[in-house]
Amino acid sequence: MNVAIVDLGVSNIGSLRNLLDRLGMPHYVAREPSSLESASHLIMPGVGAFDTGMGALQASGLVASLTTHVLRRRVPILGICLGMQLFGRRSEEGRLPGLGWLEADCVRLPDQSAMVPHIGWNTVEVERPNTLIPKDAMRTKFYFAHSYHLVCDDPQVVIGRTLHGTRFASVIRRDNIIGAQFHPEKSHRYGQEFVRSFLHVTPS
Amino acid sequence: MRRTRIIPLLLLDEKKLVKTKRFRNPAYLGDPINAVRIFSDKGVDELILLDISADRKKRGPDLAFIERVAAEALMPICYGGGIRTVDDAVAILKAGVEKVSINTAFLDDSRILSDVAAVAGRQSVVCSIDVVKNSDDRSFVHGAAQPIEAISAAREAVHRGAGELLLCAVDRDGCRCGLDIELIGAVSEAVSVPVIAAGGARGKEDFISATRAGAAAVAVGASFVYYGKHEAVLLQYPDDVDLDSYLP
Repeated sequence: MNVAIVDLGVSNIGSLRNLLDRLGMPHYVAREPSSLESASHLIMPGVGAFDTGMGALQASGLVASLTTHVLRRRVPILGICLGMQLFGRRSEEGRLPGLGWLEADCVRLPDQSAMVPHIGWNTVEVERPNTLIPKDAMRTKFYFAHSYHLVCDDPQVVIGRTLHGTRFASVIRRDNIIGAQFHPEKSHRYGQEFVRSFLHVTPS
Repeated sequence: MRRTRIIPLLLLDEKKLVKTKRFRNPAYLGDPINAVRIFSDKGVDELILLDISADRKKRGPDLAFIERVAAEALMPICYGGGIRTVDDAVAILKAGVEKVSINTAFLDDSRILSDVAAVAGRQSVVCSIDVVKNSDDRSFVHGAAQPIEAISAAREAVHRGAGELLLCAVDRDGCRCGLDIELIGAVSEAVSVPVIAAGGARGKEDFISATRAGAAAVAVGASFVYYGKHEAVLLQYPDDVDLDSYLP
């Protein structure tokens, strides 16, 4: 098993690498398209603005190779925060198109009843049976820091929702494409368990 | 949204953990890496680390040190001190912290906040505003070249792209005598982003009143590192279950 991390440039890969070290999982930062060959899992963490992340991804030269591994080879990929948002078609936050792997768009969180950005710990309400988040975990919480959220055309893709102004999709999964709006690498043991569960996902 | 966040606020002086009173007389506490590890083990919501020697040093941030510190934390870290440029901010975020806190650079040119937010997103940008009261009991920004009212600075910071405000009452720093609830109320009312209140927090009663006044979080310095009137160094943090029970 080997995890390839796709570095978007303004990402928290330091924290993620530490978490993977704690799980005893070998990992490396993918720099060349060919380096993705040896990955059993892919993780795309992201902190930052949509266009900055998408721009970095395009500049990395990895998009074509990533698309092949994700859509053809069906390698499990975990998008974190901005990483997850890039899976969609587009975002209100930017002008560049997203990867378009999911029928989804990013919109701004509504600020009538809750503060934006959504910053802090929050819970995930599990919508459907899944292997990533335990449904009955009463005290499971995760750290969120975002102003935009992914709206998926297909509700079946939404595994878990979180309430902040609206009940937004906080965990999504379509086959091997998995996304978390929160930061598992900064969510104490809850985040660690989530990543551990992700690593148990095998290519479909 | 879960409860009000309770955040240890740690000060660094040349990579040593220190505690000040009214922003003066830093007293040595211990090793910061060790402290971050201990607080992480205690399950703290977040951590704020401010390098108070950075402006004096006039060197850029020590990224290797920040990486080591971030490696000890399983929770978000906000790092501040001497951040002058977008490059400084980005380098620090890449080192493994979630947010950067900008103070002096904001006073020099408030556009630094929008510049950093444009690259890193506003949720990564905290504007730190230190407040002193004048003889008429009005709140002004500490360290500004011209008198700036605290509320105006707060509004400007949010307008420019700060995702959160770290509001420190200078006169209450290190006193463990209670927060400036009136200031917290006024600033929280004036802006639409989370306000992290700092300066004088003791414990439960202060956390509750800060929340009622509108604060989204309380940053705690002395009360989490000192114990008793003789100020024995002891790192403390309330139990998560307790916090959940009394904080909205």
